Amino acid sequence: MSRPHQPDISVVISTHNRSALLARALGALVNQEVPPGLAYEVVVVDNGSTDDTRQVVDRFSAGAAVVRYVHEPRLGVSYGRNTGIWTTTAPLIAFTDDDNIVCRGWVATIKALMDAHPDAWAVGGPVRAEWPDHIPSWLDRRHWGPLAILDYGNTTFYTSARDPRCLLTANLAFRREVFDRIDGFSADFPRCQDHELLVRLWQAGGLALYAPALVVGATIETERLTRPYHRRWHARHGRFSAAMQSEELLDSAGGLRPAPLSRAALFAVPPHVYAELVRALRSAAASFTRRRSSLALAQWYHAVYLAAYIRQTIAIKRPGARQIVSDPFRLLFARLRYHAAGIDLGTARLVVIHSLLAILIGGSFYDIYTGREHWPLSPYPMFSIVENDPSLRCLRIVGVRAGAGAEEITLLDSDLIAPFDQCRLTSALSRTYSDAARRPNIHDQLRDCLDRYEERRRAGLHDGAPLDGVRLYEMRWTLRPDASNVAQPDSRQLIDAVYRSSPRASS
Amino acid sequence: MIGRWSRFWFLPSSATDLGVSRLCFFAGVFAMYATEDFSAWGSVSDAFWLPLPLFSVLHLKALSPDVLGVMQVVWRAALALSAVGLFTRTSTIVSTALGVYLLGLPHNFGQTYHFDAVLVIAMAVLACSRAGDACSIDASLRDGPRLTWSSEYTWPIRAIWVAVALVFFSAGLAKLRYGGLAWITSDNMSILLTRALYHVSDADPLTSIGLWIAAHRWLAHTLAAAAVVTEVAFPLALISRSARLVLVPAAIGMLITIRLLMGPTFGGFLIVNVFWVPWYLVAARVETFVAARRNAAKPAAIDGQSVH
Repeated sequence: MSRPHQPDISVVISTHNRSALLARALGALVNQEVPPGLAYEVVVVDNGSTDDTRQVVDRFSAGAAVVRYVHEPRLGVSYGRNTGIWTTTAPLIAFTDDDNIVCRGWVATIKALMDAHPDAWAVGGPVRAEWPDHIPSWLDRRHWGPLAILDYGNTTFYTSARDPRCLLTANLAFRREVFDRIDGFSADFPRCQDHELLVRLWQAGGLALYAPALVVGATIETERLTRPYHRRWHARHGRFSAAMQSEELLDSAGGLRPAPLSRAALFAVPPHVYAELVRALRSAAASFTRRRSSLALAQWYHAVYLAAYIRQTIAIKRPGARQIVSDPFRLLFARLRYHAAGIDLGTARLVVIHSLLAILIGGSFYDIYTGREHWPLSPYPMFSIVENDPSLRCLRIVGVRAGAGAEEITLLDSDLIAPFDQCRLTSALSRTYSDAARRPNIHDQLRDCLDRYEERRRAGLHDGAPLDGVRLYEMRWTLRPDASNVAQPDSRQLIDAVYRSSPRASS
Repeated sequence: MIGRWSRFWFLPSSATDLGVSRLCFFAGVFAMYATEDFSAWGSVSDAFWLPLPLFSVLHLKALSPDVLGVMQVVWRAALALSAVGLFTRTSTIVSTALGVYLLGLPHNFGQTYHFDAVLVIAMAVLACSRAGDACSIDASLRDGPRLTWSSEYTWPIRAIWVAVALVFFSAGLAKLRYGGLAWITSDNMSILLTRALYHVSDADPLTSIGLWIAAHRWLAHTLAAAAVVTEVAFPLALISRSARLVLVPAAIGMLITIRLLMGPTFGGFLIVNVFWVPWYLVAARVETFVAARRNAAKPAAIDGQSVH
């Protein structure tokens, strides 16, 4: 391999205390098959290692290949990669990791793909696992995320804002001008920094090519095959995704939303995240009961991710008391608008309508639940008690005819006792009679009945006989199948009586 | 869930449905209370006064007979204007405000009836709605483009449906809650039907057939079961067109049966059933029928010349 002053491709590896793995990675990189005229260099950024990383790099530097050692004391892979970017001058910058083994034509493939696809800002490819001897039975394709394995199949395609499928920096190369345009890796993201960078690339209108021919192998360490590791990874991924607002970035079609992001949120978190969490938990429970443990575990980890996302988003955005109160209502109206495409009402109108509905429905259910009456809302408990006794006991008011030997006449006709009807009057009298505090009112009530009867008679509003007084009885009937005893109660007991001659109450 | 809720209340519907319903409803209320004299309640003794929570909270009292007389005249005028759709917004608000007071007043004297509560709710809903956009004088006088389909015409009708459904459902629920299945399987219905003949209701039964039914227990049980099933199942009418076709006529039949056999009068409940009718479809069918009759009445023409 020649040693030109200006390489065509710079390969950047950021490493931290993994010199043994690094040696394997460098071994693959320095033994690349490249066409004549293609020059590349390998830049190893020692990200604060305390092992023999320097010696390993020096050993490879002594060979034919251009392997450079760069020290970056600030811990963090973003710092390491950015240092790598800014210390190189090649027009193409490729990234891989210290635990990855690139294929022999990797560098040449990158160059060929970039030349063949001038519209691609970046190219990436599959990251295939080099499995250890023992693989847990639950670890199927659904659990590859935490292992940094990626395989989108054998088709070449562009990832973009419309199809933002993530590529991994274990196997990713960029044109240098991309970094001039969107800057390097964000130091705020110790994890997911590749995803964050790609989001910025897509948002800037860039395309990243996925090419199945560009293959990298990944060594899978056994400690990454345990459930606790996967759970921790998902929780951590949720926290970093929250910092990236990744759940707010995507629209319903899976594409990136144009800024600004949706304002609909419940306690600063997009509502669909809560819905997704509920769905994930429900699916996990369903899969678990069907003994599909791998699927159940994947769904459970997704729930872990979402829960961490929600927690971290709330921690970052710290919704205030006003937001906590107003969010549910804003969300409700936002959802109403979203679901009713034809809705043509303003928000204020929706608030008025829903207030009305809340009073109507809420009030009615309150009355149904408590059995209390708040006319015009009410529980309508009429005839709800089971009647087993074939008898009737009720109060009845009768008139005492004037000058006719105290003959009694029934006052059933509502014209006689208007505006009361018989039912309303006896119910009112019964309520008064059954309430010890109001019972003294009975006398005044009867007086009122007598006065109104006479007043209406004198005004010609009914043709009843003149009355000398009214009496209130508690009457009892045994019901007969033909109701033939309506006029003859079995018994009656005088409750009170009022006569025109009797003195009026002082009140 | 929110999507269904939204579609239920706000799926755009025809202005005709709400307009015709408004016309029928207010005309029905006007006719029902045309001869009712509320002023008499102003002369009832304070000894009877037992205010409803609404009147208590608003510190409403029984006004003098003269004032009540004026109020009921204004109320009837407002009802008539609401029916024909003149100054619809104002007249429906006045109808509601005075209706709450006048219809609620009699319930402050010791006994609360429920017959008219749903009328007050319906009036309040219509007062908040754009019920005057169709079948109204206001609409015919208005210039400019008219809205014919809107969410504004859906939610008032749905709100009144829900109010009616709640009435029936809560009545059915109360029967099961306080009486259980014994409400159906015991002699309860027979006793109620017999007792109705002893002048216990606001009006006496229109027929004594109730006694015959009471004597046939299986018939009384069937009647009781039908009543409970209709009431408890009534909310299905809100979401299912098929259920609506069965339950609404069943409920109307139940109200009429109650009036015939037991006495209580549910005129208000009968009036609000106008909101179940798809007037838009009725109008379309009437138009089709009229057009067909017109075409049939015209002399047939061949090659542009009359056969006569």
